[in-house]
Amino acid sequence: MAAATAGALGSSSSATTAPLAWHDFLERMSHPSASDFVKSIKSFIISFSNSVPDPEKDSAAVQEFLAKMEGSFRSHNLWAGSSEEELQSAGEGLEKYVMTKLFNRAFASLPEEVHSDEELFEKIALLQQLIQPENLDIKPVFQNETSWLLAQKELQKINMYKAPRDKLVCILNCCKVINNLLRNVSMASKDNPPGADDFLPVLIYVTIKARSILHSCIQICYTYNGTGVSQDWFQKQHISSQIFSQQCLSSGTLMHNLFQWMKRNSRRKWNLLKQIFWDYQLIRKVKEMKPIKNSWLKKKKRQQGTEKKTRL
Amino acid sequence: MATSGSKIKNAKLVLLGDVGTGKSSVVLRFVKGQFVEFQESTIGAAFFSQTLAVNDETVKFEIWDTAGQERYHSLAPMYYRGAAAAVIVYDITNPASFTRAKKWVQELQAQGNSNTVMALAGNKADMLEARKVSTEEAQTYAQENGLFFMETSAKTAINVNDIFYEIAKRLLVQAQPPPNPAGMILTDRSDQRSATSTSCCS
Repeated sequence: MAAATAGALGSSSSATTAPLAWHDFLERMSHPSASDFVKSIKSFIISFSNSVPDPEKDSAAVQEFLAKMEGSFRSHNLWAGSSEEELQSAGEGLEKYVMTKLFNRAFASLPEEVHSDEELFEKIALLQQLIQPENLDIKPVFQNETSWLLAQKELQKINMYKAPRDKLVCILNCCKVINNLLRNVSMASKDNPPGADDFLPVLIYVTIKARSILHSCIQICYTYNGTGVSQDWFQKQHISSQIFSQQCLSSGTLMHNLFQWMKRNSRRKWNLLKQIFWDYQLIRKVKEMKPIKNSWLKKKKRQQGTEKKTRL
Repeated sequence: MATSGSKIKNAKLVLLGDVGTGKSSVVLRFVKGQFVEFQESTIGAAFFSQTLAVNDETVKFEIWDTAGQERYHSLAPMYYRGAAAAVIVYDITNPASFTRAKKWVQELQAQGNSNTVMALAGNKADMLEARKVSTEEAQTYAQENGLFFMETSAKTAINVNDIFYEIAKRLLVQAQPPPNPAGMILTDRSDQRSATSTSCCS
């Protein structure tokens, strides 16, 4: 396990945005000649915090402000003679600062977002209890739950950070861990190199198991971040896995598979699933994708203890 | 000519096809065979970029692999949307994968951008003794549907570079005639299509 850990983390140990850049940014901002910058950053944060939340306008406003400030950095003597890279990391530092300050306002600011977070969380909570690697078409050679815990851990860190870029880094690190695991396996078995066929199912599995990803968390990454191409790909993958886990409950095909699998393999879970499936159908009839109530979840947990003997 | 020489065109290329057709092997062969070793440092299990020179122009491919399992089908539009090119891969030893490929073609024709350059790749062409899909059948299908077709082998590298080269060429040809600002010719087929799509909700 220890060896696997080292191998899996390999190149992915570089978590979060470069701390040096961040300190550098703060240091420059504390310089007397940066007082105008500090003033305009503060006034932007105040005016933004007082405006009515609107995801689209918010995103545009933040992007515009960041671009304007980056432009001013460029011509200011604090950054005189700086390389393109240094200017870029100053921009990242600014973004991190602004988004951290605006976190409460930008993150789950709309009632609908809070609602869809809760909804998603509940659904994933159900799914998490039942899902098996087989259900997602993960090849047996690649099934390695203990190693996936590492990827899960990386993903769970997402809630520890406020800045979109840091959140994104958590997603990327999770992807790296998965990728390294797949590659190690395929190298050992002299199999074909792993591709999306192998990657996406594992990412979905890890996403469901990690459970910490909330809709608005993803939203925030998308709203506020324009990034490089390979990051784009992983974001796409990640959002797909989000969408997929949501679809799992709505499409019914996965439910059907789960159904069959449980029937064969686990009597206890099969009973639980039957109940969920039944409830789900009922709920769906009432209203498409209506969230499963909290109280229902609690009730189910209470029942679980007693029903073992009585059901089928 | 005026903007002399090295113009780089970025092109998103999406790989579609059933699981086990060797989509990722094809890309890897393309990326590895022509460039330095595929970089350990990149996070890509399934994302690659590769540049290809065609005459004095350069195409930089961003290659997006997709999961081929049927159950992930519903996610595909996220990937092929905005793609300049699509390579639809099937396995010549597996007729089901050819059927699936045809479905992909249909879907792209219906949903995708009409400018997307589509290529059909019959992979595993080295496994002649196990062949189940004849070259003629695929060739005819490709012709009827305006795709270009090649049988490839990621294993022996047959036609792998050629298929990407051909795509690059077609993308550049497409890019060449500057859009004519005066005239818009949007007649023909779009009428019939929109008619079918509106009928359901009206």
